[in-house]
Amino acid sequence: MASPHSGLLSERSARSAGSLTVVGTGIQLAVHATPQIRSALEAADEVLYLVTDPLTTMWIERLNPEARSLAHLYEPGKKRSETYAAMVEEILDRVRGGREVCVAFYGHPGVFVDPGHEAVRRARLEGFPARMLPGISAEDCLFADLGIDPADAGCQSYEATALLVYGYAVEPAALLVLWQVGFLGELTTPTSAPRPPLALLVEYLERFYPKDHGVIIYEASSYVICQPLIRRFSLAELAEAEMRPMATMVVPPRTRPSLDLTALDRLGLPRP
Amino acid sequence: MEPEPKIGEFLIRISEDPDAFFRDPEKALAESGLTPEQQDIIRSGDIRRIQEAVRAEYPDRDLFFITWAPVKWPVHIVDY
Repeated sequence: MASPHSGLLSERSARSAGSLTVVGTGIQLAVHATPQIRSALEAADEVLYLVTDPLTTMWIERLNPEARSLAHLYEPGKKRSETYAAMVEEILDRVRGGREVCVAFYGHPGVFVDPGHEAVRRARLEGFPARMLPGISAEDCLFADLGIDPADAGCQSYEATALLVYGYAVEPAALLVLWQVGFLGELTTPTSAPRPPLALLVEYLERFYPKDHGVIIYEASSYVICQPLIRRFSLAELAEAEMRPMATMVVPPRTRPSLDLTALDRLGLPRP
Repeated sequence: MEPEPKIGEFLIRISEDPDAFFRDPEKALAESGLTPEQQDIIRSGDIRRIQEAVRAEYPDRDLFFITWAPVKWPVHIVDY
């Protein structure tokens, strides 16, 4: 039977054991897992997972009894970047041991997942077949639930802390999606629900939007029977808003983009 | 003694065949063995209530809420 990695084998053909498949379980329990993802979970010698929902852990373990969590690597107060590095090392240890390893992350395994791409990159560098299967991300759910097409106005997507720390410029004519807002300013994994300094985020956004500009705090549904959580605030109200850990912030465009007539002409496109 | 029915087990079951549930949700709930209070939580569709109930049923499960660090020292350089 053809290996799932046929076509991905490295030149180190002598190494026949050990491979890595990184998958995303999606956002909603079970229904977001494609047949390909289910098959990868079932067929693996070993499954490592990092997910946000207790039922997803149980669902994975029922698909593959060799599944175990990577969350034990978390240490209170430890920098998350160090925790993720330890996770990658644990994943690679299992691959180096000759196991067909499948690693499952919540959502899409390559979207806001430090260990996902890094594990694939390092496995390939060491000569192991490694692949990533895409999953449904929170942003995918957001577009569906909020009725937004990112093509309409363009879409900027930043991690909330990174927005402030790196001072990314914001284009107010495009949609803005801010991730991990509930962990704003937090570089470790807190032991209790963090209280993000939202006033600092509001202050930054007020450079680009007026105080009464409407924003949306969105949380995708975890189960087929749940509705997504969609809460609307003005920017002025945001500083006092409750921010749940899995919340994503959406800032609709403030203005319409201006048409560049010279560009239209150079592209040979008709003027309006 | 029969183990107490759990919302979590019900959710896993219906997630594997959601069409069967949505064809007749009340029948599915009536046959679930869940208590009236648990059924009320399910009917609410409220993510906060349902997540709270599930986490109370399975308090020892290892979870991890955040998987990306915005600041990496030394400077993280992405090589495309």
